[in-house]
Order: sequence, then C-alpha cells, then structure tokens
Amino acid sequence: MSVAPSDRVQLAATPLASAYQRQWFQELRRRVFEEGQPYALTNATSPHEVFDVFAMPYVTNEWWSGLVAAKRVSGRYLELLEQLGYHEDLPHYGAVALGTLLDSDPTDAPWGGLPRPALLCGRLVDQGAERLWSLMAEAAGAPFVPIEVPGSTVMYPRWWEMARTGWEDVFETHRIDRVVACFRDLVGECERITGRRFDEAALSALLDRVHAQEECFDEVRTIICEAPRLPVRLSEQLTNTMTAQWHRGSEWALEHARRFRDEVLRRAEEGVAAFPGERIRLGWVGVGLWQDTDFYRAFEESHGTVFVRSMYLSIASDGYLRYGTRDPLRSLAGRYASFNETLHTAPWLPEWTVADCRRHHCDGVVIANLGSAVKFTADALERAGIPALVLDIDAVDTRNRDDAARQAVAEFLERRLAA
Amino acid sequence: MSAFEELGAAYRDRSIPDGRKAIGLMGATIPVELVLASGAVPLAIAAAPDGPTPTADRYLEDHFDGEVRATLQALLEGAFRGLDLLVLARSSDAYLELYYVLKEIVRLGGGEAIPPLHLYDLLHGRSDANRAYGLARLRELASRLEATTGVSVTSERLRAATRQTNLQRASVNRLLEARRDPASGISGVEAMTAIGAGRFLDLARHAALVDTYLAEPRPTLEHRPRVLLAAGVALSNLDLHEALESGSALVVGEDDAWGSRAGGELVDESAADIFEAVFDKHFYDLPSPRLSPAAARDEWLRAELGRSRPDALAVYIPRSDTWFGWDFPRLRSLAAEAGVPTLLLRDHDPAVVRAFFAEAAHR
Repeated sequence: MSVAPSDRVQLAATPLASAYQRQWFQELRRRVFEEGQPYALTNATSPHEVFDVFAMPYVTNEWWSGLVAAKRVSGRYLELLEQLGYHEDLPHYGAVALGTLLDSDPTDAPWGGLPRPALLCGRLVDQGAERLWSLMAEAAGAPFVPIEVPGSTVMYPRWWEMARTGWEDVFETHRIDRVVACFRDLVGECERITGRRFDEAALSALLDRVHAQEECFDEVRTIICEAPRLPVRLSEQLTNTMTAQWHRGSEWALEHARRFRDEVLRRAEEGVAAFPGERIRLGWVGVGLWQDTDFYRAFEESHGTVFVRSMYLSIASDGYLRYGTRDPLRSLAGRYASFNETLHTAPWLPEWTVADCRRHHCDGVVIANLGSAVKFTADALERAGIPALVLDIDAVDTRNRDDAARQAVAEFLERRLAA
Repeated sequence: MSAFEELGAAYRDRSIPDGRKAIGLMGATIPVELVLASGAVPLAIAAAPDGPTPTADRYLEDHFDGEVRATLQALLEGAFRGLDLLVLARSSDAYLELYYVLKEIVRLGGGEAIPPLHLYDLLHGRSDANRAYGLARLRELASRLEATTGVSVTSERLRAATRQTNLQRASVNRLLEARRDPASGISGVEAMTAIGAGRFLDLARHAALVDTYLAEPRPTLEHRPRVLLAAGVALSNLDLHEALESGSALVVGEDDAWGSRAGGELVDESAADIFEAVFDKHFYDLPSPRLSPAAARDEWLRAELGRSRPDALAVYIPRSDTWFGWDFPRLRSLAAEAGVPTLLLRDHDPAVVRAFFAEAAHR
C-alpha cells in the first residue's frame, strides 16, 4: 500500500494552488511583521468575507493545524499543552494554534511560526470552543469576538435542496437574527482595528464572486459524479478546493476555481482517470487527513480502490450558496448559522451524506470518527445499502500515525466490498 | 421516617407524580417558577448511571457522560412516558446533543416512549444581546407551557411561584451555610441528598424537611480534610461525593446546581417585570458549562474558596472529557492564589484521595 511520490500530482492546477498558498502566507508575514498590519486568527466557519472587506488578513486555525500536521510537528505543540496541564484527550483539531501561540521558541514552526493576531474570531461550536479561543486570545493579548449560534429546532432532512434560496426558512429567522448581531459585533471590532468604515456594497460584490466560485465547485462535483471513472484524486480535490475556499471571493480564488473546473472537465471529456484500474469507489466523511493525504490513494494498486468524495467539495456548493437577499450580512448569516450543524448533526449529516455518496456512486464509505452523528450516519449509509467503516483516527496528531487505519480500510475492502 | 430519610427517598425515587401535568426538566437553568405558574409539577430528569445502556448506546457517541446515557436509556424504556413535556436546556452541549438525538429517534419512528420535546435555548455568554435572546426564549417557553397545561402564566401566578422557590432557596442557603462548618456533621453525601431532593418534592415540603434536618443532632466531622469540588459533569448522583468521602475527605461545597449552587440569590418578588427577574436569576446566578467569560465561571468558586477555606480543591475531569480540561490550569492557579492545593481526579477512586491527603499530612 505504498505510494510512489512521482505520481502524487496529476493536475496542473494543484501546484499552482500550493504555490499560491505559500506565497500568500509569506505575504501575510511580510504585511504583519514588516508593515505592522493587523491580522485575524479565525476558524473555517467564521465570516471571512468581513475581514476581506476590511482588507484585513486572516488565518484559520483549521488551516494552520492542517499545515502543522502536514509538516509533522503537531506533536510538539500538543506535548507543550500537556506540560501546561491540558490533558491529552482534549480535542487536538484547533488546539495546535494555541500550542503555537504559547510556544516561546518558533524555530521549528512551519514557515517561521504564527504571528501574534490582532483579533480572534471563532464560532462557539461547542462548550470547549469558547475556552480554547479565550485562551488563544489571552496568549495573543488580543480581543476575541465570539460567534454564538442558537440551537436548531426545525431540521428539514434534505436541507441542501432548499438552502440555496430558502435558507431563511430552513435555518430559522430567530437564529439568523442572532448571528447577524454577532457579525455586527465583528464589523465594529474590525472598524476599530483598521480605522476603516464598513463597506456593505463591497461585501455584496465579494459575495457575488463567492457565489461564482462555488458554482464552479458545484460543476466540478457534477463532473466527478457523472464521469465513468474518477478524473481527479481526492487529495487534489482537497488542495484545489480548500486553497480557493480559504481565499474565497478573491479574484485569484475565482480564477483558480475556474481553472480547476476546466482542467477536471477536460480530463473527464478525454476519459482520463486518476487511476485507470478503478474498480471500487469510496466516500470519505469527516475532516481530511491533512497529515497523510497519501492515505487516499494507498488502496489503488492493492485494491483497485479510489476515494472519490469528501465534504470539502460538496459543501462548497451546498453549504455556501445562499441567494436572494439584498442584505449581505444576512446572507452570510444564512450560510453560517447552520454550517456546523449540517456537518455534525442528525438528520442533516446522515441524509446529506447518503444522498451525496449515492450521487458519487460510492460503493462504500469511510467515516473518520469525530464523535458527532457518526452512528446515525453509519446506520443511514448501511440502510441505504452502502457499507460504512468507522475509523478511529486523529486527523491532526502526527504522534499517532501508524498503519492501523490503512489496515482497517484494507480489511473493510476485502470483507465488505471485494465482491 | 426522619426528615433525612424522607429527603433520601425522594432523591432516590425521582418519580412522576400522579394526577397533575408533569414537566420534565433537563438542566438547571430552566426556571422552575414558570412550570409552577403554569399549574404543572416540575420534575428534574437525570437518571443515575448505574446499569448498562444498550439501547442508548446505539445512538450516542462515546463522549456522552453516564447521566445522559442513562437518561436516554430510561427515556427509551418508557420511564418518562408520563411526562407531558420534556424541556432540555442548552446549559451544556450534552443536553443540546441529546435534544437532537431524541428528535432524530422520533423522526426515524422510534419515539413512542419519548414525551413532546422543547429546547430552552439559552446562550450563556454574558452579554446584553444574549440576555435579550434568552428573555425571548423564556417567553417562548411560557407559551409552550400554557399550551401544554391550559393555564396562563400570568405575572401574578409567576410572582406566587417565585415566593415558593424563594422559600426553598432560603432553606437550602441555610443548609449550605451550616455544612461549611464540620461541627455541623453534615457530610457532602447528605448535603447533596437533602438539596437534590428539592427537585422531586413539593417546594414547601422540601423547605420544611431541610429545616427539620438541620435541627437534628449529628456527630461532628471535624477530623476530616475539607474539600471544595469542581467537576466536569453535572453532579446529579452521589458517586463522586461517595468516592471522595470514602477516601477520608469531607466535601463542604461544590460548584454545581445539584449542590451548593442550588440556593444563591433570591428573586425579587416585587420586581416590576417578574419575568425578567426570574430570567436574570437563572442567567446570572446559576452555573453552566457554557457560561463565559472564564471570570464569570470563576466568580462563585473564588468567593467560596474564601468562605469555606478548604484543605483542597478537588477538580474532577472525567476520562471522556472534551472541554473541562481547558479550565484546569486556570482553576489550579485560582486555588493556589488562595493557598489551596489542587487534587486532580480522573476517576472515582477513593485511593487517590487517601493518598493525596496522606502525602499532604506528611508534608
């Protein structure tokens, strides 16, 4: 199940995305360190578009954790946290940034380390999140703006069919109202830090570009679903999708989404397969294995198996497209009010996963067990006739990397899907 | 039957009364006053984690604690079929997730034993916006109770209910004051039993029983090391107290609504807006894992370290914890500032407690 490094990258778009990300971070460091510009540390489900309107750079802690994991140094920060008294079973995903901020020696940190942010903004996805963000804010000596999202009381199972235009009904007005209020708090903090006034028209224009970008990803998903064989590996789906998503709404991101779409379309039209020996198609549920993206192609030669689907490309359209309002902050709130719930709560996650995996013609699904609606999702897949494997795996902690997960998938393929 | 025996029976039985509308409450931030004002009987829902939970385990992920697991098992077995409404507070992630799980079980057709559900969705960051949001949820809950019982929750009825809860809280406060003194002979287990019984008894009866219990003579407990407790789970059963006290300690207080936080500030019965007064009591004076900022979470503990002057702060972080551990270094510092050592517990192990105090005595 080893992987030849020379065959890791098949798309021309992929190295461009990687290079842009590196260039962007160096630029960030230049702007922050040399020019003294303030930047925000935030998370994936916060309204990055607000920062963009203020021309305020930002880093998401998920992206930072992924980068640190990919560089195989996350263990150092997790050990530091344990030395400080934070027990080892606390969630690692997101905690790496705290470890980085508390580390007094950035010598070995990826790309020279995480600069001190001027502002932190995170959605309180659980009762640990406020604690983690507040600790990071304390370590950085910077203010923290929480995004507090009410609980859902109405949960349409097939939410993705209604959410693009019917989001006000799907995600409940009183919830969206509260999220809008949080966004206004964030706007106020950004105005204070940057000395600029909030430009609502600029946000509207940016959202138009975000929509255009996500529509490209929607097309990519359709191409992948309809192609007889997978035209782009999951690892390259992740790189191209998420790099553009971190910069969504920028001219580069829109251009890159189009470039990615066009290249995937061309490969599909020309019948190019990521792995010509494809026999079994797997879906992936949960956060990406950023520290080991080779995992997704480790079963090609041995089992004729490709990973075709993850949440990252599918949520780009189903989770981001929110049409039909003249109030851009409300449109943003319509997106973020239930972003986490759709990915972590039943019936939203299981129903969406089943439909999306069916659409991708998945023969089986591997679920990274993050402990949210996993049992409901696995049951729903099995009821739909799609075998599911729940994998206990840490997406960030590089100390625990071993072959147990690969072995489990291999056994799953042989036991449940060999026929 | 002595007063304590009657308190103990109510604490253990936790049964639904016959003949009146009964409203189940999960979470301490739900105002009991609203339920009383609607003419119904409030009943805390928290099953003891003392047996296997195979049906609940089919649905719940690994991180759920024993109380939630046992409660779902009991719900699915029909133990709470007689409730007219089950209100779940968003005072912890576990209760919110349980609400979602229950809704999904109902949607999938397995909910015949599950009562109607209501989410009381407080946001616990201390901000004006969250207070306004919470007040709207309080009025929403009042409407739901009215629809359930057919009784209007008027200001007059709510004021009358508040008089009952204030009497009970005053009685609990007397018990809390007494237990700080080991000469009172009130163990942590007894205190938790006496206080917790109030969630299952008529309020006036509970207050009277507590006062009678306080007047009864007991042997002193002055020889035991005194412990103040902070835990990463709701203390809805006696397991942790029994472990600590089996290990020679005396628990003199706990930062939990089932214990020392059950009393606290009384509600101003003459407030111009009694709905706001009741809401503010629960928003500002009751603990919740979701409460922020940290300074707000620490207010009571910091003050109690001064009031009860314990020999140790016991911090219980269960093995399945995913959030309370972020508080531990800060709680340890907070105790150290008060000159109090910290005993970290990951399990209910009396031997760890005994070893801690033996070492402390040696030092």
